[in-house]
Amino acid sequence: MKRVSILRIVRNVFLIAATLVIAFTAVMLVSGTKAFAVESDSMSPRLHRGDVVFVRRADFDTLAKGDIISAHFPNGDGIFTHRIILVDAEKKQVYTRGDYNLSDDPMPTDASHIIGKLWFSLPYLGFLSLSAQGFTLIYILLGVAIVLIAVRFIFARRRKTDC
Amino acid sequence: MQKKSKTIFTAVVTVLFVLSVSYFALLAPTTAWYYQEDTTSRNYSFTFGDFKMEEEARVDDLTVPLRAATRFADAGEVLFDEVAHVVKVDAENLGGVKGQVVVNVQEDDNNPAGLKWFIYDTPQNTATVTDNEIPDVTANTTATKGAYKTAIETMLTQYSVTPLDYKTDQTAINALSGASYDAKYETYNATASAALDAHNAQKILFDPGEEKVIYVVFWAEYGEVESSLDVSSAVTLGNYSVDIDFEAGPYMPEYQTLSITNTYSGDINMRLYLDGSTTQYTGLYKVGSGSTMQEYSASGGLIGGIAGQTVEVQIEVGTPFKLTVASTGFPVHFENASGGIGTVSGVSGKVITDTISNLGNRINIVQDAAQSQEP
Repeated sequence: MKRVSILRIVRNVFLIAATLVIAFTAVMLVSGTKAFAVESDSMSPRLHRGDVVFVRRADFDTLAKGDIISAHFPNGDGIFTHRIILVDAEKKQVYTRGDYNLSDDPMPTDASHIIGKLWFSLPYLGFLSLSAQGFTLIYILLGVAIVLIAVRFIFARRRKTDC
Repeated sequence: MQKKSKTIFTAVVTVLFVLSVSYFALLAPTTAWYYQEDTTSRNYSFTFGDFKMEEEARVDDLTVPLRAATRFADAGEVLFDEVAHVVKVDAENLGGVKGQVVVNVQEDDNNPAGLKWFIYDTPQNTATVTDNEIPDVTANTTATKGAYKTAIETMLTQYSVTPLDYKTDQTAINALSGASYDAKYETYNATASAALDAHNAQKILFDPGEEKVIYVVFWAEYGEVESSLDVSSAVTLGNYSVDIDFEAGPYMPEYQTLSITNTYSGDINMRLYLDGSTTQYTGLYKVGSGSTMQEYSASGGLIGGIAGQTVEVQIEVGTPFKLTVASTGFPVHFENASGGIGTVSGVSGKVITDTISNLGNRINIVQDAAQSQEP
């Protein structure tokens, strides 16, 4: 009885936690929010390697000095997340800089390259994708999930037969 | 039944949970530029990648001892390598984005006259191994050009400057424009010097993970110092002092706006390709005078061609592009500031393939003269 109770508690905790994670992910996807894993410390102390930044699309006219934005590099080769230090409304460009960098970014960013403005960030979550073990974790979780579901169904069937 | 529902619910939640975790495990990274310097006493090196930006690498107060003067534009000069002083720098891009390095050499104001330098790079695994010592000129009996002189001459030809053998090509020098031999000589040297300056200003590009060796080759230019190259004696010009800056950063391509106007009275189909062949245009694009630049989104490279219409596109400097007009049924040709350009290419119509550096940034589509004559 005691063992069943503990199992039930564990399962219920897992279900609640999983539901929260699923709901959070669903809200992010439905709202069009984009998430990126921070790979560098160029925005330290505000953002650190391993953080996940959640950015939302923002009209260029709403961007202001001090906003943190994610944008494509001018050659389209990668994404960077830095703070706006100057908005050029006439040319529709922004000048940016990493908080921890000693100099401004070498070129302004065109409005068409801006992905969005930082909404919020979460620490450590980015290590999942930054580490080489990210894919391994997915496979392990998938395997465990399949096993648990299979065990659950087998036990349910056995109980039915016994009854 | 209720237990079955619970089982199904648990299974569904588990699967969705795994999918949610997978979403975060597959996030794209966001990065920024980073620079790191590692300078040893003899062989300089630096690596750069993607963490943060820092000041450029710098080789401070480098002494460049030069034994004798030489002439970089002289094809007959075979002892150039023996009197040049070479600084070799190992560089590596550790980052995930394409990078560029710009090398700036600054001379001390008190230097003797005539210092020149030539910057070039080679992949790490093919680099010539050399040190920074000056070879002994008197002991050298080579009669062939060295690697550095060969590299400089190759560079000159890319700028349409053919190195001349000053001893044997007097005819070639005499043929240069200018009022007198001295004027022609100065003109040639100025052209070659301009080519050298343009070459040294170029960015050195690094793909992610690429290693290269950057060479800075110093010499004293014969025509600018009061000394002659004498292989039989240890003529010492003296010491030159320089600072060398290596500025690393993410690759920043330079674009120019190309305006294409259809001055013909009829509509035509203009197509633009980026690699000079088949890659259809991508980038910013504007039609007409009132609109703003936006990302090109049509297909097949079609960029317009309504009568009287001007289209503006952004072309990377140095990248060849190909511009075509649909068929030979249209009595038009391309013109730039210098006149007619491009060729007829069978049933594919009029075609030009070139770079914005060569053609300029304005091309008109003009009605053929034959068609405009009165019947």
